[in-house]
Amino acid sequence: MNDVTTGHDTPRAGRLLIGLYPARYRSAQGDDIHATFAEATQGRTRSAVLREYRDLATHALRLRLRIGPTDPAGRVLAGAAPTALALAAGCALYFLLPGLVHRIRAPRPDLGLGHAVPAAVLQLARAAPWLLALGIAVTGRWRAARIAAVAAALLSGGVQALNGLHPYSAGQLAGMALVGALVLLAPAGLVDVTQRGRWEMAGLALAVALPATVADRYMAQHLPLPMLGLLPIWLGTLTAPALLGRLADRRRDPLQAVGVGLGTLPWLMPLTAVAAFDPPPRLRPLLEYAGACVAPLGMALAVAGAVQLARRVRASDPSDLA
Amino acid sequence: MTDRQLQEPTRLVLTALADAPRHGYAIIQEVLAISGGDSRLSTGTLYTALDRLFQQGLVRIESEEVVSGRLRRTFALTGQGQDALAQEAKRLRAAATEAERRLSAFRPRPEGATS
Repeated sequence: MNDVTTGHDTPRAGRLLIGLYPARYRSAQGDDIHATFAEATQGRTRSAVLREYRDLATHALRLRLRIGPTDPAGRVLAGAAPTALALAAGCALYFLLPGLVHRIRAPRPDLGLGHAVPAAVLQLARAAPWLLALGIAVTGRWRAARIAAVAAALLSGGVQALNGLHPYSAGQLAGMALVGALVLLAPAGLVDVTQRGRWEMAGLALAVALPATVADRYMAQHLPLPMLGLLPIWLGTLTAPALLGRLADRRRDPLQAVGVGLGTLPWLMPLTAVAAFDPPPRLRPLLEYAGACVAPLGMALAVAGAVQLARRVRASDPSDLA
Repeated sequence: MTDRQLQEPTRLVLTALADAPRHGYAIIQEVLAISGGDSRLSTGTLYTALDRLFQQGLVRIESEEVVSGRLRRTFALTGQGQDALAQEAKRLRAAATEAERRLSAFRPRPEGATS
């Protein structure tokens, strides 16, 4: 089998791919990109040429959707994606360990261990891919982590659908799909995979899972309120210091910082689904709950705004120059 | 944006343009040579990096010429781009020096030592 391209077919394919670019960008850069593409694909193996096609199509579509690394939406996505992935992995860890232990140690008496083991396997299938995706991201390989996260979203969504869908669980499924979409669409070159960014992801995931697991045990014994119900508020509370830190750091892109806060949006999807498709008689408690979820983020924004204002006042104060 | 650590493709593209202006395919070839054959930028990745470098004011268009009826551009570093690359080189040199210093200071324990 001839595995090397002849170069006759690539110019035509290149022209088709150049057609994916927005008209304005195409008229400014199209000829130059096409010339580079034709030379870069000449005499390459088929798999290398396919990678060229994929990367060119991705570049064109990002520009068309305005989610490239220089677009505001792309910068917001680059901030939201690692946060969403870290929170998803943290939640997966929180659900996984106590859930597995409980299912095996205390199977439902009417169903027995024959039901408990498949249920535990399903739970593992739902949670483990998120942990794998985070593990890959923490090693700095964001492109591979992106594939793993999309697979995790599909798998956990599939398991969720197997359990039947009602407004709340459909909202959970939409939330997982949103995490997958955020991670997939974020420009890979802009996501912070420096050592600091990787530690932030791992720290956020552990900060979700470990205290929530401990609180779960305590609340089950002493309070008539499950930790599960407080999880979205806990996620917002944890993300708020990260948001504040990013906004206060003048070297960081403010749009990426705002994205960090938006990384919590997938966990508000169940509330949105309930409000839209199965609204309770009184909407006020639901709105108060949603308010409690976003209040820490709002406070972080307010504090960051105050810090910026104080900096400006200090910078413009002539007495500081003396 | 330039005072933070540069991403790998960005650094490689800036390095490829450090000694002379180059057109797109020449940048890809230079990056391949600089990285010892490890990093081959695809056309999409190259222009993603160039878009960002343009926006940050680190790269400019040096010249445009028509080759076989097509417009071809040559790219060059701006003064800001040279500064950013020099800053990055300084950061990498400092990290490498520190790594070498620590490695040379390392004294392996003799076999059988318990504390």
